[in-house]
Amino acid sequence: VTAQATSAAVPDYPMPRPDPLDIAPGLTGVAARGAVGRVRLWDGSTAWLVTGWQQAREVLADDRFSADLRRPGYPHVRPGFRGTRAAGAVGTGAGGATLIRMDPPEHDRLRRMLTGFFTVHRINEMRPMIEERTDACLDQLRAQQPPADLIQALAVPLPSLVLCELLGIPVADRPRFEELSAELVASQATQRQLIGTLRGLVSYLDELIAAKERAPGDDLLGTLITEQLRPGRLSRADLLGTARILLTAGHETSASMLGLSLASLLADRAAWAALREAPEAISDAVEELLRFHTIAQTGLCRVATADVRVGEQLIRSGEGVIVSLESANRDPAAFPDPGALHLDRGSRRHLSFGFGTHQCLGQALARLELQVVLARVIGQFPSLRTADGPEPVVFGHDRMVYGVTKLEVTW
Amino acid sequence: VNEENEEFIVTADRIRCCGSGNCASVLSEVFTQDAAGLVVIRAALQPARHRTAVAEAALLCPAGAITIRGSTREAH
Repeated sequence: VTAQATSAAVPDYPMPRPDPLDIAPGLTGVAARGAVGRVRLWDGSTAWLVTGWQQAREVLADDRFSADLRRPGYPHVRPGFRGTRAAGAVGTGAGGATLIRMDPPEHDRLRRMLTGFFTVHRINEMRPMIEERTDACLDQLRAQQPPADLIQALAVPLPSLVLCELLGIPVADRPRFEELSAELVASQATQRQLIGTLRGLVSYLDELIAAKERAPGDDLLGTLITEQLRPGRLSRADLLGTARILLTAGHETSASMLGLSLASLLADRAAWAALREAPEAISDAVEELLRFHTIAQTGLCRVATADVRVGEQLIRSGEGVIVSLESANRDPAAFPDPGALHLDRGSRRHLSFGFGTHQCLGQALARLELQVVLARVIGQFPSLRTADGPEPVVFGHDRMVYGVTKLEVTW
Repeated sequence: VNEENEEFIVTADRIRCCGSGNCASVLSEVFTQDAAGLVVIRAALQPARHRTAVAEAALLCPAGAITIRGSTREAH
């Protein structure tokens, strides 16, 4: 078979998403031909796209698939892949290694320094703080004349405020941190602006760590300095890289999920009313919203370091693999009627936080933020609705993390 | 012997555990996390009524760290 003969049959990836609240219909096409199919990337290279739920779990739990993007064959999904390229431009020297691109055993060693901060118990202790910060955002919203943008008023600032508490960012620094952090999430930023923002952020985190080295508190960074940096178990560069990844992994993701959840509930009055009647259903609703709006829209990339059979497909060592979390979350074998939003589905089996040893460290925090915010918004603004106007809702299609960049509401 | 009515044994591999907390979220009566976030099983021998939830926790565990042994009879 010649390369030319096969190229016609290989679909391009990523695929367009005509309905902003649904996944790309092309993904269903790949999935229909089996749990693993080939796709063509922007540079003409091809990679395996894993679309089945079971197969996605197998790949993500298998250490023979590496997450190290420096390895030959690693699939680079976009030329100007936000975050990845910007981070590369800043240089690893400035930021240290980041957990999500590391493999075991280094990954596991670093991850285990952090897991204690994200236990279900410790995250639950943050509930009153998250409720307080959410109420403060909603008080400010109430003081405004409608319409107002719920993304700027709530979805972007709230996770940033929570990160300030978690990382131990002094109150005096918060305006600067929030500004940098919001710029990083801003959709309109050019690649060049993004690199500038990331440099600003790395230099801020560097100053913050220096201040904490002089007087470490009992927050996450202070504890890492006392327990890991000082005894020589963690390098300063890796501490900086860790601070950076916690920020990028904890802000844009939560902001996106908050925006999409609110947009989809505002578009479905029956669901909105149901949750208003029964707030105890919020927890199940959050799991279904996580499944339905799989924000890691380009999937998780890996490269095989050995020949591995996945489903019926033999993947050769050195070949790139993209695990489509979106398709896996719409696999009818795992989720009956997968294309519909069933808020009472009651399943946590979605792969929106990934799977395997890289699975989202902050998932308990993400869940709690979603639960608190949705309950507070629905409870305090029962008649909230999308504003009239030419374009009240804008989606961030070209972003690594899919989300809503504007959600104009009135009440 | 009906397996559904029998006690069973649950074990967790703390070397594999990656501290996701899924198990503790699903069934805090059986699973908890230590200060480092690693899984701790409150009691290895579990009553039959926990079987479904423990099986779900095992399925959700991203590290494949949770194992169920069918019944006490089988285990001894």
